[in-house]
Amino acid sequence: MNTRLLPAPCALALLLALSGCATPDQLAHVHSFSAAAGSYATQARDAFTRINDLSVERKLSEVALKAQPLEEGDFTGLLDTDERLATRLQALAALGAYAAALDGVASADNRAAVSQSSAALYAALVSARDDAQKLTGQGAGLTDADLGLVATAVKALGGAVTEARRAEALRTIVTRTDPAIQALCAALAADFHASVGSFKSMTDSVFTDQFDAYRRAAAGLGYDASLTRLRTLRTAYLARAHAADFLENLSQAALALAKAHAAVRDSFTQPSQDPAELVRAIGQLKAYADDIRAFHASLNSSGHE
Amino acid sequence: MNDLVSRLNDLISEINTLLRENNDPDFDQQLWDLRHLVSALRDSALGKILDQTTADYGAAIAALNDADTAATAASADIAKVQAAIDKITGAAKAADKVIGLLGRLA
Repeated sequence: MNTRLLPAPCALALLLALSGCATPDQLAHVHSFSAAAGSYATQARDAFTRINDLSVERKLSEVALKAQPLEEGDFTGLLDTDERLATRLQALAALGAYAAALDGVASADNRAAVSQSSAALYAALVSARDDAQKLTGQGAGLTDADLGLVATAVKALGGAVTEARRAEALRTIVTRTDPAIQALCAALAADFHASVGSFKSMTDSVFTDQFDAYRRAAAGLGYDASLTRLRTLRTAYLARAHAADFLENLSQAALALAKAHAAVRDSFTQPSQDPAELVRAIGQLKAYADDIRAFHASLNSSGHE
Repeated sequence: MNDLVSRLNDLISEINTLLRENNDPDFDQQLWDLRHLVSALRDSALGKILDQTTADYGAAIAALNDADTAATAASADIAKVQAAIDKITGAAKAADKVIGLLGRLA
């Protein structure tokens, strides 16, 4: 048996396997998409919770101002009925889990384990060869280099098969899931867009109540207490000013998320396509996610939660 | 329905402006009562708009959970490559054992 011929079929198999591999660029895009989608899912969950909380705050504010009597319904938010909030939070949790799982497939790295296994294979082959030589009293024509070549080919093939399986898995998963992502993003975009005016109106009502409460109490307040109240009032004023941008950004980001997922899908189903559109779509999604995160952080740091 | 919500929000905005500008307590109370009523109408109309998309979320949850399961299985599948090499190694070790036994018999 001429073992020097072994690498040729191995190389052929390697070539065949490599033809279906995911490129580092494709994997980098999947990573970027997953990170942005995960961030968006978190921000959108916070936004729905914020809308719901604000719808309660608006009613409690009227009660605190003695403008309206307290009713049991005042503690129930706009999204608390008919599973509105629960369903949305569940869908966004599923989106976050999907993004993490997709990233997991793109990141799955068993090269070290494959390398270790091929080293063990090499040791086993050398041992078998040596024992065979002892038994027969003659060499089998297999040098250490021959066996090393076999082990190296197995290692390379293992790596290539890993990449081919990864590419196939990513292609299948993003293609199958794309219709659901498109429908989910359309629903999110519609929800946030429909809520823009009402969210702004609710912040306006809370601001107005705080404005009125300050005006009533101002005469009895000292300088420090007055300044503290005015700072709280300014927070409400700023929240009102940015409310529309906040939800409109979330709506636009949902559309960007849909576009980016479709671009990731296309990168696997039509790999010859120009990746510029994919890069642009993911860049846009990331920019929206960063903007929304910054806005959330500014609201939280000003104490308006 | 979107148009109705928009008009109700415009009305609330006008009422809020009047509330901030007005100092007459009786008029304030009338404005608060009106805003309370209009806000409740607005919340109800907005709720109905949001209900139109609730079914889409339900369908997405099922599909995304399936995708999550598929991705987890794919990650496990990738790990099987190493297991396949370990199997070959096991076979080589077994062959070595047989050779060793033959050596003892010889």
